[in-house]
Amino acid sequence: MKISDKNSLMEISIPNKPEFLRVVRLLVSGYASRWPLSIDEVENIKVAVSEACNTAIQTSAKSDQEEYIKIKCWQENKQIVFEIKDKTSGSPAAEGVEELEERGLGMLLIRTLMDYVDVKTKPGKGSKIIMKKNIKSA
Amino acid sequence: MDLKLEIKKEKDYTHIIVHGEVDLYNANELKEKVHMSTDRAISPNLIIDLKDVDYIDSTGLGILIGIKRRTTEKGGVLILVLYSDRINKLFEITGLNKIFTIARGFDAATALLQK
Repeated sequence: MKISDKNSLMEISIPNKPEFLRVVRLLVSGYASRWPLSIDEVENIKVAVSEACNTAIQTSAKSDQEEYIKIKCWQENKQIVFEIKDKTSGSPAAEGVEELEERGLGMLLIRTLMDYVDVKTKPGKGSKIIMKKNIKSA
Repeated sequence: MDLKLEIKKEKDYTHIIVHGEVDLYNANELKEKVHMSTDRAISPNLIIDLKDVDYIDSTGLGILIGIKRRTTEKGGVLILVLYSDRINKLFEITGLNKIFTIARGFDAATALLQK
């Protein structure tokens, strides 16, 4: 995706380890708080980005490789855009019913809490989730 | 904040107060600690108090579904105590508010057990 306003760009790269999820939530909340959004909207963004990273960590953790998850945030056309990318070969089969349920719940939360969501997976190349939140007064 | 559990075993229920954030990093720890405490409990009934939970993700919600399933299999009832609107909202979005028995306070939870 082409980024029109590079002055607003924040990039984070984290190892595919669950202990980094809290760091992501803190950074993304801080970033979202820069824009005129309500506390609820900032909270929604935090949950959605964390869920997207959850999915990326769960799928990449099974590849037995040291992988990094890249998170980009920027403002574009009265929206904040969040891009979460991993380099896994796609979504492996879930291990058991509980994991299937969790993945379903995660995507449901992302789609409900954000204004736009697009998920792309290229076999062998990785997955990318783009999410957008409208800034009403921007 | 790290995950912390306060566990009180009563005659009619086990009361577990969860503190901190529940996510992919520590959700299994929550599952194991709850299972360990309920395995040795007098009653199969369980009250899980999420009043001091700042954040819970889909992994945490999935673990709660598993705990509910296990409690029901043992003939018990699981009641969740939720105070925070933020956490309540996650249960509403996912439809889990229709699956779980939810009380707004501990007294309301014990009253539900006596019904």
